[in-house]
Amino acid sequence: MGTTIGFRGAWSAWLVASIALGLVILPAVVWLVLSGVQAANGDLQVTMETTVSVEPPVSLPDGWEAAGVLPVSVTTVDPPLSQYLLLVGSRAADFLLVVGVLWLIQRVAASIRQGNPFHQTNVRRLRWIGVLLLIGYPLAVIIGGFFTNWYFSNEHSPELADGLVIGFPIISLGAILGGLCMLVLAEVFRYGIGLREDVEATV
Amino acid sequence: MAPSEADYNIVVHLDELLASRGMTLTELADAVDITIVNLSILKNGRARAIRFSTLSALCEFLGCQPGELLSYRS
Repeated sequence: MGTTIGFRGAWSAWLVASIALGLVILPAVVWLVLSGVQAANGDLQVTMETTVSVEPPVSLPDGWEAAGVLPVSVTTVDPPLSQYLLLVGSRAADFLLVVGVLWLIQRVAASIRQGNPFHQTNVRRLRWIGVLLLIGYPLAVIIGGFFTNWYFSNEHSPELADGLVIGFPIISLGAILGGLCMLVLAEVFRYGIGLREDVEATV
Repeated sequence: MAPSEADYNIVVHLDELLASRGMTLTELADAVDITIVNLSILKNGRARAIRFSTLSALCEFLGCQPGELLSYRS
């Protein structure tokens, strides 16, 4: 059953999701190609963001302690292939998570644009978005942090290993709330399937 | 899941009424402005609900009462 109710909104949602998907994939592809060319020419620069623990230079009363974390960018010129692959690995998990979520959103929006959103495939897509946000996000942070930590480990950058603190912001309230909203929305769509069947079977 | 006659105890006697009047489903669809798809759903017992407007149009054209078109099977 097709309907023009909310048609313009469905077009907008599909368009925004499609543009977002392109804005994520295209720079990644360009970066991969450019960095490959630079690596071949021997002038590749690899920059990794991390943090360094510092003690603020302040005078404190007895019993007081102050500690801080300083964000730093560490640039390596003409790194070996192994370090380049570790850099790619540290960003791949985040990239795949974002692409996966955006692609699923784009598919749901496309089905709404076609006038047939209430079917089991969309319920599965929305559940997958919820799972990706609730479980995939912390996993992506852990995997990315693992590769980043490995990048700065004694094996690859011994002079940088000491004093570097790799942050693991695993818990994201946004990801948790977004994931829960998607799971609830999936149940709404499942209920919508029943309503659609009732409407289609009403003469 | 499409409903079946087993889901509801309502029987639709559209086939008998059409046969007794020598009409086809296509002629009925043209006459009452209901799609043949919907009439087929109704005839084959796959309908979950019928609008009063549809019931009224069918009864008016077929010259019958709702009780002749629909019956309850216990």
